[in-house]
Amino acid sequence: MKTNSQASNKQTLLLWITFGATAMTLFLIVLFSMMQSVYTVPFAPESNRDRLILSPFMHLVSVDPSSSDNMSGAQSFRTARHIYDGLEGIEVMTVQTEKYYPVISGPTKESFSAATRRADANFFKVYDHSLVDGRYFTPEEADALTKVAVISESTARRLFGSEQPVGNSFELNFVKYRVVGVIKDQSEYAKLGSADVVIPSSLKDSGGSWDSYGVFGEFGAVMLLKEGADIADIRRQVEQRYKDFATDMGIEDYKAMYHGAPYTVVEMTQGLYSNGAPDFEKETITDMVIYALLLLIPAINLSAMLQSRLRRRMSEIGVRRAFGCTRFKIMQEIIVENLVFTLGGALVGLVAAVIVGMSCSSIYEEWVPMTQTPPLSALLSVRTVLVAVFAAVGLNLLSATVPAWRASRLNPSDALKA
Amino acid sequence: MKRKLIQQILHDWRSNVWIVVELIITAVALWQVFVAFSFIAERRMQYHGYDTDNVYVMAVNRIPSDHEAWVAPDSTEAPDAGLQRLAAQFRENPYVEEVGLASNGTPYGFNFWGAMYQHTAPDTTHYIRVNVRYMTPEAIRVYHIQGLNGESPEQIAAVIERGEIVLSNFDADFSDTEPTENFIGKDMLIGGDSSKVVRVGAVAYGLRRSDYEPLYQPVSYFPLSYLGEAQEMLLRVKPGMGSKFEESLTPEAMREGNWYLTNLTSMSERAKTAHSSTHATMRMMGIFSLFLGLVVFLGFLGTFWLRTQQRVGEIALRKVCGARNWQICRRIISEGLLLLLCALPVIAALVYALFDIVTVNLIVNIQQSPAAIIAGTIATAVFMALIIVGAILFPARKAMQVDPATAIKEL
Repeated sequence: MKTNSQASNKQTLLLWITFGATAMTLFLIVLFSMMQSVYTVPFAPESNRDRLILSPFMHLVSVDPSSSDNMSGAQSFRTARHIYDGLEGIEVMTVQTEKYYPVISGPTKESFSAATRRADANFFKVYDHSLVDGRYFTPEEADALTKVAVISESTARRLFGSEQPVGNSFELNFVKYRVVGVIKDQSEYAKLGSADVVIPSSLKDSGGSWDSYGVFGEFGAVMLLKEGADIADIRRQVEQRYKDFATDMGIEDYKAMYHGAPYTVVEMTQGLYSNGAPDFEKETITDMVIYALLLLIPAINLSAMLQSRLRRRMSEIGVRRAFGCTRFKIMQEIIVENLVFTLGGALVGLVAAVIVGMSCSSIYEEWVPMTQTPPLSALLSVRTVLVAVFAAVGLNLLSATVPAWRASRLNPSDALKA
Repeated sequence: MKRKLIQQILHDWRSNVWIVVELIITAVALWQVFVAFSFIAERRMQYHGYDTDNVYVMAVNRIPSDHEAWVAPDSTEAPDAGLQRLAAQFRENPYVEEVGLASNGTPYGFNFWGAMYQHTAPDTTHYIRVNVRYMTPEAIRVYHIQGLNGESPEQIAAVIERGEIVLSNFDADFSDTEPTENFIGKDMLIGGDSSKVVRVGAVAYGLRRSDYEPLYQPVSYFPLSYLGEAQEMLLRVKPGMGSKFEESLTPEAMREGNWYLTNLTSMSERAKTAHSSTHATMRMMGIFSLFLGLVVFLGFLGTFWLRTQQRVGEIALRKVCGARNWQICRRIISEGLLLLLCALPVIAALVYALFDIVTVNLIVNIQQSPAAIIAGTIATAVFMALIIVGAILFPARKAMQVDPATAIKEL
């Protein structure tokens, strides 16, 4: 009796260890996946992330082969427009700055830094902001650099309190802007489309330009691909424009270096450089190796533990084989039984990953400190669930196939003797 | 005893093979991580030759001339007289130690804003690509920038004061530039323009873009007076007075004439932002290593738990034959460590084979850092051994508690 109870305790401990290791493995795989999906899964105002492509940089190198002189960085409005406007296969293109943080103040007299972007009027076509009041600024207003602004709801509250924001004015670095529209607050995880304040920009905006040719500045191009358009075709067009760029701009000493732009949102998460081509293949292989290690090492362990558990069921397997159960059936049942167990672990891992993903914004930091909770829809997406399910099935197959195969090869008479 | 232990390991070869395979994969992956950690730590601990603690920065702005608050400048004053008055007011602040002005004068900003210097010697012409930082002498004092030849910040500031430039050290692995010390006292043409000549007055430590980055090219500290326009005001506050200084600031203190200051940020905040990507990577690597460690821990715990349960009779017999508890424990732990020893040649071979195709790609320039490789190797070995010992300790303790009489009766 006591021996049975001890054996049962051993099995229970082994089961808990197995379950814990499974849940932990799947937790880490799902968390790792979520850290990428928060920047790639579509949500407003970047609901078209699967069609968004971008080009933030320009790189010029000296035409003198003996010189290492080169310049790289964000583009001027003119450069972005020149290269990316009117490409075939593009639905709409906007030229916009990164977020910057000027001081703003309004009737409430509160002065604070607000995440601001300058952009042309297409900004509101590329991203699906929700207009709460008023309107977006028009192409004419943008072209004329009219001092109008579209601001977020929370910024409107801080600037104007209970006053009506639309039609009212505020100051941005001592320049007066009139509010024409109020949009809903957005998640800071919408790295391209979020802003507290959007003000007009156009070819007349030479802000941030630092080179004598006016090639560099504070802008980048973001485009929305037409449904079914081929990004490779877009890249071919852009590459051609790069070849002609120096001549078009009247630059004699430098030539434009093409590094594969425009990039997809997924490629953006792998890191872009202003002065070189990103090695997406290397990044993808690194990710794959990490996923493989996260699956393989626990699988070896879980396999050994399953084998130990099956050793205690040798007589049961022997009886079933003696009564005509096929080897395939035995193997199938062990694998399915283990799959149910693994899926249970996947569920626990998924829930834990979502909790950690919601509560630790620092895990998403890439150059910019993140303070907000990411949108649940970006964390608990179809992609995340699929990753959890596929990882569970993969872990199950890796860990259960060999023990199940060995159990199914047992000789019934030897098994019954065990 | 050792021979018997090896026999026992060979007897359980099926499960031991899997344990060894797991140890090999884990150790190879952990080695990459620990070497990367050591490399990053080595970079972090390098002597930088300047001090950003207690330093604050503010952006310098001007009120546009069409604004109602704009005042017509006094023609008898210097164009930046308002800004100079602002700086003077901050010097009067009881919590402030030094105030300087600069353009592109802060570390933790990711740009290579620079120029090409040219020096023509009798036999050859040298070209140096430099990261230009425009500073007032006070800004040099704010950072306590040291000279490479032992000069004090005061001496470096004096070089800027007399209108000469200061070049910095750089990482020779990334630039084939002549050592900057060779240019002290020499004239440099800026961008090859013979009308723009500056003299190198000293060499000092260069402000870095990040504490984890090498100096890819020399920094050139340039007198701000050449540029004329300051973009940043730098302040060093007295040690521990940062929060009091922040509390003492009023909107009026941030504005004088047509000049106003915004975006007060401490250098530690800037450093946090600049390092966030590196820290996020390190955090992930840490979680990854802990995960691998935990998986190995659980694997050993489960396997040795079963083994000790299966060997109750054997343990009982050993006890009857006079074996002490610690000897039982030592034998079980030795079994685990022996498995690690078995894996060691394959681990070493794999690490060697993967070095050129994996490690050098993951950790750029690791070849130049044998210390990081040695530290990472030791850390991996210690980590693995500790995990194995920690995991086996629980089953080993259980084995020590076996009552020989009861165990033999149950056989």
